[in-house]
Amino acid sequence: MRRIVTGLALVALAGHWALAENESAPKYAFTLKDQTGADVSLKDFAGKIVVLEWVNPECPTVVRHYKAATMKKLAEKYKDKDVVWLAVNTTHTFTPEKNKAFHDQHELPYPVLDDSAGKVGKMFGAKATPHLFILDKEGKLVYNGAIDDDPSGKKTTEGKPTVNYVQQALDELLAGKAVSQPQTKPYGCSVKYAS
Amino acid sequence: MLSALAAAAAEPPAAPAWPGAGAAGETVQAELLCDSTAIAAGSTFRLGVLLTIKPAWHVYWKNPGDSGAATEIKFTLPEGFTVSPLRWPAPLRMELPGNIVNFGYERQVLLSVEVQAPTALAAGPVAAQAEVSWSACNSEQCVLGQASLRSSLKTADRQVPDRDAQTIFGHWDKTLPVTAAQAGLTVRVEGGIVPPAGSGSVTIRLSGLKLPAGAAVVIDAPGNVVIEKAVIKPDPSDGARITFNAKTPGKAAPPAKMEVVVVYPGDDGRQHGIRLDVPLMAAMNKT
Repeated sequence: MRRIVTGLALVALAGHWALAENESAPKYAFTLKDQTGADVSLKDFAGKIVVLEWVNPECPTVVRHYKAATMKKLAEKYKDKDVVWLAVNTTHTFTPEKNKAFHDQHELPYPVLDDSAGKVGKMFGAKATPHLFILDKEGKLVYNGAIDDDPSGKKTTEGKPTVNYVQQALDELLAGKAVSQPQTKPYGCSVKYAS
Repeated sequence: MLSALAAAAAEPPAAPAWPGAGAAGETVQAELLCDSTAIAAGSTFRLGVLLTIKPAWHVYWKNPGDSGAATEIKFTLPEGFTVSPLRWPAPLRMELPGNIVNFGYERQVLLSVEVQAPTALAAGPVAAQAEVSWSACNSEQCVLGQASLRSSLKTADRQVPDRDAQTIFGHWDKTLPVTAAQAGLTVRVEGGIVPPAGSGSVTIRLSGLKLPAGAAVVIDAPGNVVIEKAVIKPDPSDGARITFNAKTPGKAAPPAKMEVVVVYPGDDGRQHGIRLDVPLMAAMNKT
């Protein structure tokens, strides 16, 4: 009996190590076209914190956050602190031209990248719009999840307090701390992959 | 109202007619139903919102899965009435491109409550209200919708059932998940989240279950718990087993139990479910 218990514990530990190794290795690399047709590569931002925001201008949840300028305000707040914000649009029906219309309409301070082929979305496992990922200065994934804890937007409408997980993570990173909530459940529309 | 009831009663729930005659672009139609034409003091009756969903679209279960938003319904009745928690029929497990898994409903669903009337009831009709909101999606887009539904319930000395509505509620009551005991299963949970790693694998052995074709597992994971690789398979020795990995990435402790539902299409063409309340921490389970 004792033997069996030991065996199980080892399996659990091995699983944990595998997970830790997975998340610590900088393994992300991509080049995508921005809304002007110019190439943007992740390696251009080596040594900086990078926020990747999955976006779909046709998703009502995204529309709600863009009306409130949730992402724009956050990107502007951190842009002088070596934080790079990149919006990625994986919606398979989109083009750089359509992304430009969205970019210009909202006068965004960050590029909107065309991932209509879905490659980068699948690399990160992007499931929803909005879905946010943060890479630290070493390129390690340190946050994966929702923008905040208000999926329906009701807390905001009713004036109740909300937690912006991205802001919380960026503040912790800039203070040299570990991200206390490294993963949350994203909400919103499913990412509209072609296949 | 009557014609809608008759139409819905005549159609099996798996293939309702899409009325389609609503406002242009409408994807979901919502209707408030009561199982009785008159309610009485002290009586128990059912109220429900029947959502009829445009073909190729879906709305979401109480836990939408990887994306989406839960359908929300708030029933309001006068003081003295007791309203049960919302009753959710067994959902579909839907796989979307990009390894996205959602839990929800296609075509039609009745989300209902049981209501207990107070023992003393003033004469005159009772106002019932349902505030409904949903996110509806197809493979290309999502839309948000809401409806504010009102109904005036007649009162009488004795409750009078509405036969057409009873048929509809009867259909959908059969789709509410049953407990493992009701399904005649013996459940054994192994593994679970191990501190301090905050993660672990879970195996649920369902002894006595002959796994129905098309069975799937849906999980109402709490907000601070991440579930990965949930699968259900026949167990070579007996019944079936569910396996998944669970982790708590944040600092907050997970709730003691989590709802796991085995869903499967029945011979009657309806989706059915068996509900399991699964302890999350390894310390609470067998090793």
